[in-house]
Amino acid sequence: MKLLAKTSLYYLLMSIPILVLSGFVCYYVITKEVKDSNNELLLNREIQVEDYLKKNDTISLLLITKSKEAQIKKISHPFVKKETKKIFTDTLILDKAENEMAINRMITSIVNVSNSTYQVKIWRSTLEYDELFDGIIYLLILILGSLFLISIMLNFWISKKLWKPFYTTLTNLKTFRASDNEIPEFEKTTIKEFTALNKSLNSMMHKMIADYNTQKKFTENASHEIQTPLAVIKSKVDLLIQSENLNANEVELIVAIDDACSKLTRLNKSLLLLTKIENRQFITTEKVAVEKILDSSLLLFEDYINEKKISVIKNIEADYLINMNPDLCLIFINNIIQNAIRHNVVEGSIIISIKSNAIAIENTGISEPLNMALLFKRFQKNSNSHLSIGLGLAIANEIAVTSGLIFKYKFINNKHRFTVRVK
Amino acid sequence: MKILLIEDEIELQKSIKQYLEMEGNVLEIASDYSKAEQKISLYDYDCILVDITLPNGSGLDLIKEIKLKKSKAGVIIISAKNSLDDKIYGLDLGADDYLPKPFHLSELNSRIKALIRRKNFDGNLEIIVNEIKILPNERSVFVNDKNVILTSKEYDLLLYFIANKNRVVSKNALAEHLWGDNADRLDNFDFIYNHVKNLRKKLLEKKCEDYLQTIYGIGYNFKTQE
Repeated sequence: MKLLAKTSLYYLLMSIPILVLSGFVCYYVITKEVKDSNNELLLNREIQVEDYLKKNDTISLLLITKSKEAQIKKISHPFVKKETKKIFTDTLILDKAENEMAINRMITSIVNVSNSTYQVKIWRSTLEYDELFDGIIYLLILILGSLFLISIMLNFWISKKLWKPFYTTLTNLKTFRASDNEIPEFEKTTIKEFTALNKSLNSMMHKMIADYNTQKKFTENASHEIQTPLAVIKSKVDLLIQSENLNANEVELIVAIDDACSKLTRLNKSLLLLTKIENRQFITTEKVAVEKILDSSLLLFEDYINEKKISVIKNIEADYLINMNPDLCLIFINNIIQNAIRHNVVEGSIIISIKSNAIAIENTGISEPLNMALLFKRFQKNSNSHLSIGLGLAIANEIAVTSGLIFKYKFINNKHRFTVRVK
Repeated sequence: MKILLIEDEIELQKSIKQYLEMEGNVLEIASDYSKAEQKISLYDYDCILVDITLPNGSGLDLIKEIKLKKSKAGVIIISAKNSLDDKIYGLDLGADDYLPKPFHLSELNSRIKALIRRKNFDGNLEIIVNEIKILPNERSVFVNDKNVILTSKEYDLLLYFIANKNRVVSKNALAEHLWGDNADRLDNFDFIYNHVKNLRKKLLEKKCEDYLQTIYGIGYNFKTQE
């Protein structure tokens, strides 16, 4: 849910109790005001009637009583004699026009005029409280509805206009890569928060690019510094073996140096490769046909496959075209195939399935699942493969991560299965 | 063959010079950018080996100059950087090959031979060593004009041996030549042994002289007096 939609929702939710409360207050205030004004009006009339009674103005009294809104009764109860209290009451009186009982406000008072006592009742139809209540509820619903509509429209407009710089910033962040060496253009905005955000992002990106370049430089320099002495050692060994009449002991020493040198070379190359992949230095991508690479990989490791008498079964439904760096794809496939051969058993099998959207490579091997936690870690070696340097799967995994592939391991039917598909 | 080596590491210069001169090549050396620039402008070479990182300059700029001069020399970049950008850029500039350091001298030698072949004969050529004739374009081999059917790896090995004839080639160099960066195991020596054994058998079957000598523990030497 968008931030804006969420805040609006909270506003709307908050406005419900407020509206209900204000509804009650309205109801209370309106009824009170109406009551007060009615009381005052009735009181005025009563005073008038009292006045008429005192003056014995029968015509006016008749007019008033004819209007059906007053009643004057002569009473002779001694106990009310002294009572001159005026009582206001609500009472139901049949409304002839609507033919229903309607609420009326009524004043009842006892008037003493020259020894006779009158009971005067004057009433007046007043607000119908249930109708008022309904009215207020309708009004509240109307207000809530229009608030909702307004907030939707406001959201739409605000997110389109006010939040535009923010969304531009978001897109910039999504597409930003330090390896591009380019800082995206942020939209100019007068909103303080966004300006601050853009400013700090901008400086962060500057720093990332600078760090990336330093790291890249360092990797290259380290590579240069280590490869050159290695090249010297290698070339000296190559020259040394040209000499005639080397004795067995010398040969052994030279071979040991050469082997160690070769291993160091490969180790250094693999580590550099890992760093380069992590640094995302393999940027160019193209559609790579997997089957062709798999075939060349199988050909490359033909000897290893034959040695272990491994049977390779290929199930190809359709060629899988991955959009990735071709060099990385080659290394990726080589590493998986090499892994499938290395950890295989004699007379084992490798089953390769290619579908139009996934590859699966299954191999026989030890009959228990590999430790998932350590599988893609660097320098994890299986005890029976002391000859490898233990970077193959780590490199493959790193390639998968940077190329947007899902690379998974599963142990099923006593086979180790690696699957690759695009995210 | 006249070769210019542009490289600042003295010990590597010595090694390359010694190895390539064994075959009667003439090797000139430039240790920095300005010397290299001078030599490129003054003399003609068959092949130029360029390191990219040089004192006071980049080897990539030297390649530009070589191409500007319309030199016929083949150019091989020998770089420790092994940076993809440099490789692509270098080849775009007109370098013919890219060999990352560290490399075996035998590998460098075979690359130079292959390059010179491509340059001088437009690829249409035969490699003839006594009774052995190789047609690189067709990847076919004849002994006494009889076709020898070799596997892809046997063929690669034979070509490599011939490029480095009368030189001891180590098993590590062979493994790296056949499997590249994937030569991650020592047991590939057994495979090399088998391939060489089969290669030798196939050659001998066609009455080829036995040129391949096993140098115990180290590797092989394709020995021939031409």
